[in-house]
Amino acid sequence: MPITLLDENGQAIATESTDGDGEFRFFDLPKEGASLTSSAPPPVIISEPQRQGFNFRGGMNLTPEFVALLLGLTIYTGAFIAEIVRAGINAVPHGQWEASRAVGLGTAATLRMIVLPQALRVIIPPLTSQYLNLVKNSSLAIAIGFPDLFYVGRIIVNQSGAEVQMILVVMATYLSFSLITSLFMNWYNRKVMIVER
Amino acid sequence: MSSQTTSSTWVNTNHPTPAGRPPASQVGVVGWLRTNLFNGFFNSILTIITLIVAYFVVTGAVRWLFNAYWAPVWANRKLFAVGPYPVDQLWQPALVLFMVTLLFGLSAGRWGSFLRSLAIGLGALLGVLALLPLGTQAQLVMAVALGLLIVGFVIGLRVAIGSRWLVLAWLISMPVTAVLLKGGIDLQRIGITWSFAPFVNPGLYGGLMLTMILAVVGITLSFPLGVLLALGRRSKLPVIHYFSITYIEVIRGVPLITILFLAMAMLPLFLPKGWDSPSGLVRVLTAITLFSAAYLAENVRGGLQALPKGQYEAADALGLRGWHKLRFIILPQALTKVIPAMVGQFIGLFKDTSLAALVGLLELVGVARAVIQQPEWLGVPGGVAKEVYIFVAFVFFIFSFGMSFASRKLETRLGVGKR
Repeated sequence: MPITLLDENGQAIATESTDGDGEFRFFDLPKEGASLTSSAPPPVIISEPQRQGFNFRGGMNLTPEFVALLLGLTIYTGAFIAEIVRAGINAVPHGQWEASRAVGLGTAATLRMIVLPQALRVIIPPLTSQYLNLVKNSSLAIAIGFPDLFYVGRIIVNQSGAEVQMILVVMATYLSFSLITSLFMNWYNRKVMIVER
Repeated sequence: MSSQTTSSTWVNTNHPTPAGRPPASQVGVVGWLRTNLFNGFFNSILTIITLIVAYFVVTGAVRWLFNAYWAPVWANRKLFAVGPYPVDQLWQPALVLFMVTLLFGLSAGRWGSFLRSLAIGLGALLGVLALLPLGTQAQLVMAVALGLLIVGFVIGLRVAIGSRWLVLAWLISMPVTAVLLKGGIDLQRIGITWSFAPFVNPGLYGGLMLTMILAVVGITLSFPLGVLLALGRRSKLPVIHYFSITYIEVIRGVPLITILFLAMAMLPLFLPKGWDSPSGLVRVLTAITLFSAAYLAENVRGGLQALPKGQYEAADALGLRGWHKLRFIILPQALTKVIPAMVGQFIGLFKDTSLAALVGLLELVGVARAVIQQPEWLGVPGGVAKEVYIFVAFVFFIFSFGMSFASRKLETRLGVGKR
């Protein structure tokens, strides 16, 4: 397919044809050619992701909504978890650090083998509720127009008018997610808990 | 060496060398840098990388801040403050502001402690707003509010007002606010109608004012409900016990947004036949209150569980029963223990009020969403969403920060975790 580049005045500057893959490249463009427009419609290329050089070409993009949701929830929850972990590490007596030093462990080993296992006991319960919050906060996707469960629920409400039933279904879904998360974290909590005699 | 030796005693006249100053590299700015930022190879590299990143982030942010397009925020300052409230009746919210600042000043003067710091923050905020060219009337309102804050503070310092009266005044201020904003009392169902100004539809409340209404009413109403639920969960009566558990766990297991939508759809179904359909404000308030009560109940339960069993037994031994035991022995201790947790919960509730925008209320976020859609800003490259949302985030931050500051002060004063 022939492609023609025009400048602002509609003057043709260069012409080129696409190759078999629908790709084209202009050579010897004038310096002012930064804001050129193409006369022909861009070729429709159905592509699949392919490794080319150091990058993938083609394929699909993540939607801005999804990335916004992912980044927003990650950063927001990350700040809360940072505070929880800090509180947990602070809860380990200072003597534990010193004792660990005394037996000759380095900083990393101290953290991994002495401090974190004890801190986890303090961290897990608030971390559980933070994860539950995360599950529930994911419903905020509706605020930025990401089609999550709640969004689909709204569409069904619009089409059927069965608002109460739909909200109850959505609530039941979130409730089951919450309960499953809660069960898992409680199991893990029992695992890291101090075995008392 | 010039020690003198006499027959029986030996006196060392050799004064010890006075301790010299530590080397310059160990004290002062350099010493602090060395101990905190450059104590080792990896930490030095980490410091340098952090500094470089911080430099780019800060300069980028500052550059953006000064080049951003703030016109939408400035042009809609009235919307952000009170929403679409009728312009010729703005004296009503102004009166509410006066009442609240006066009460706040009185409380800060009377009770002191963290309230005093908060009052200083509030005063600074009002002062800045009074100096900004918001418009003559708005500036005047802010200046008067600041004046009332100071007057209230001085009166609170000088006059010993009973704490009970002050609490009562705060409680009364809420229905008074409702009447002032509405422009009268409109209870046709029980035949009371009285007005001093044209009635204002609650749908026209908005902006920061609505956010505050939602937060304050939500906090006030959810507190007693939460305490009741916490007591219910520890009750020995099976019906109350299991009802409380089910309520708390179900509410805590679902997102607030579903409860908001449920309240919007279902609240009219619970009212007697023939009642007016409640306004969106009432529905959202109900949802927020019911939601927050469940979380508060768990906080209060933590306080109840932390109380030694001896306290209950001692109260029994004194012959206190039921309500007296709760009122004088259990609740004062249990609630004091969990004040920081409850303040955290209240900050969460304050931030959660932004969800009311999703069910159509024009609180801060609702106003932001409306402002972004205004046709005036359609031609702005890149849209105005960034500026508007950053402004709203800043407003939320100011108030949340104030509350968490107050909570930290309170924590130190009560000595939670120190005993």
